[in-house]
Amino acid sequence: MASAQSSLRLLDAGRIVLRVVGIAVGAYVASAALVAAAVALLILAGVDKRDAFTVCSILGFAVYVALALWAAAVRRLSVLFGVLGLTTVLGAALGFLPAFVGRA
Amino acid sequence: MGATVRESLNWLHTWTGLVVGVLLFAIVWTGTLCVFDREIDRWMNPSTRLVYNGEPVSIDGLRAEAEKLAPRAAPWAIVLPTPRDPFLWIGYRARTGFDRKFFDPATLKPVTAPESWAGTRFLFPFHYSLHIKIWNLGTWLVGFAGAAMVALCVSGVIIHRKIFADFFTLRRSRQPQRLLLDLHNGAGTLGFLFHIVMAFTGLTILASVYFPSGVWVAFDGGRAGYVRDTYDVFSRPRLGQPGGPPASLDAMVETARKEWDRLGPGLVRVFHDGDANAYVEARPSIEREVEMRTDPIYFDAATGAVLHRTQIRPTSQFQQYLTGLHFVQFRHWTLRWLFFGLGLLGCLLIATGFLFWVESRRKAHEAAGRVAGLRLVEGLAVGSTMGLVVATFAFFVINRLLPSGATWFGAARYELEIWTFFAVWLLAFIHGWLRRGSVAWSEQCWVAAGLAALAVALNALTTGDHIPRALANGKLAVAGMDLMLLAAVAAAAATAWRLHRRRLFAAPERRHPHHPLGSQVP
Repeated sequence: MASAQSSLRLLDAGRIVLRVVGIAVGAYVASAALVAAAVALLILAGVDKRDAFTVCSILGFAVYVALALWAAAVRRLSVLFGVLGLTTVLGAALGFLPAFVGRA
Repeated sequence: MGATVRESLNWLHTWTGLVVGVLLFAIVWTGTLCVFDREIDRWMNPSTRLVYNGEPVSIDGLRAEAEKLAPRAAPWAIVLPTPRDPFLWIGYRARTGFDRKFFDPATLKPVTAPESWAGTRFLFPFHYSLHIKIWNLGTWLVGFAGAAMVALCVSGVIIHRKIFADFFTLRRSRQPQRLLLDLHNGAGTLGFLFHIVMAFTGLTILASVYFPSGVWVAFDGGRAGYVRDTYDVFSRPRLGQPGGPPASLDAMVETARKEWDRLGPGLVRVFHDGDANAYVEARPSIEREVEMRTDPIYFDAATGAVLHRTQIRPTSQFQQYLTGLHFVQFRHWTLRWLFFGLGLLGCLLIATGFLFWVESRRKAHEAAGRVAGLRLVEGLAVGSTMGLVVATFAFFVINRLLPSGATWFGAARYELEIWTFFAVWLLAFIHGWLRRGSVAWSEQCWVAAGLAALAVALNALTTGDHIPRALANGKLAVAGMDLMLLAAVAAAAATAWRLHRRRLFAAPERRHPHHPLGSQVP
């Protein structure tokens, strides 16, 4: 009984650690990927690269805070990491692929 | 982490506030002091307590001096005076590294170099980097705390159902947590816009550091490429042939002044001095506009002809506006005092948040016998808030006690001041953990009051610039600093006295909650 309780407590602690990682790191990585994607798309659309970076990086902080708040509020950890992971992968692909293709 | 969004955000607000609170208080406190960084510089470096009324200064007379100081290969610069920084200085690369030589703008005679890092070189870098340079860790920690502050502001609003009613509520109840919560809510609502704008603009200043992903996508050469392209930096290589006689720097400044719509000059920098490709960069003074514009104009050093007029995008100008709003270096004393007051309100917000965490858990934790965490946070709260205030005042006191040129174990005078600051801060944490709760608070308040009073007395004794004399001589920075220290004496002593009285009149069981005889102790 005691061991079941302590493993339950360990599980809870693990969930909290994962949640904190999601809020502090996951939300940041996703927002950085979104900034990269937005900058790349704006440049492709013909916007000056300096304008694209300045605007997207400033908005990026608001995106980070919004994602962090969402990461704290969302019920399931699987949804949290699913959405943040997908955002990161898609954002990084959109942001960095054109550069890699261009340089190849 | 809760059943509803509001509960989850309450959880986030509580624990982010606790974990990031220590860092956040250090950033907000030093940021608040940095509103008056130049005034702190004047107070801590008496040789620079000059009075400058804003008259244009001729810098051609300093050229010979600069050429004597600086090796020809490296650029050198003349930084012009402002009423808040009432001296000129030549910055150059000496054999030992970057160095500066100071001059009185009225006479162009040398002034003894400042010995303390004071506000602009100690408190200001502490505010944005905590002086942790390894892997740029300090800057990232401060950035994280800034984002956390924005998240705290937003979640703080969401978790309050009655934000309007809370704003007008201050329950001076005997229960400390109720008063603390009302103070926390009041300070949070009153300063909401300021705190969120300061946290956000603090982040946008270093957007290119915090979002390297966007820099990699847009610019070749990383951050250096970003700076070159965004700020339209001009440069040309050294030719290796001797150049003609140099043209007048004053004439270049005059041309630049017309281009800048009558803004005064802030900095004049000479590159490749003596070479045929030598050139001069002139930048405006930033004290007349909110926007912290660099706006350099480049001249040929021999002919004085304009080589390049920098053009930056309106988006970057907007970012410079946000930067200027955060730096508050523009000349507007009402706003400067407002920033200072709202900064102090931010300190109150963080400190009361900490204390509310402790007080709202005290009964339950003590009843359950789980006091270790409570004690840890109690000590952390005292050390990180009042302890930092005590350390700051100790920094001022040691500045007036150390003789000029003092060294100890190879450390220069400015380093001794900084070590004193950190040593006192560490002691305050230890004291906070040993003495605990309101006893620690009131004792540290008494120490802060004593140190602030001592700083004022030592300033008068060692420099002769007591308040009436400083006022009579136009040294408003010195008098202002002394007056603020006296206000701090009054505030700290009043707080200490109230805490002392509250302990004296508290119910016996609350006075000795852990005494073996409990409430039987008279």
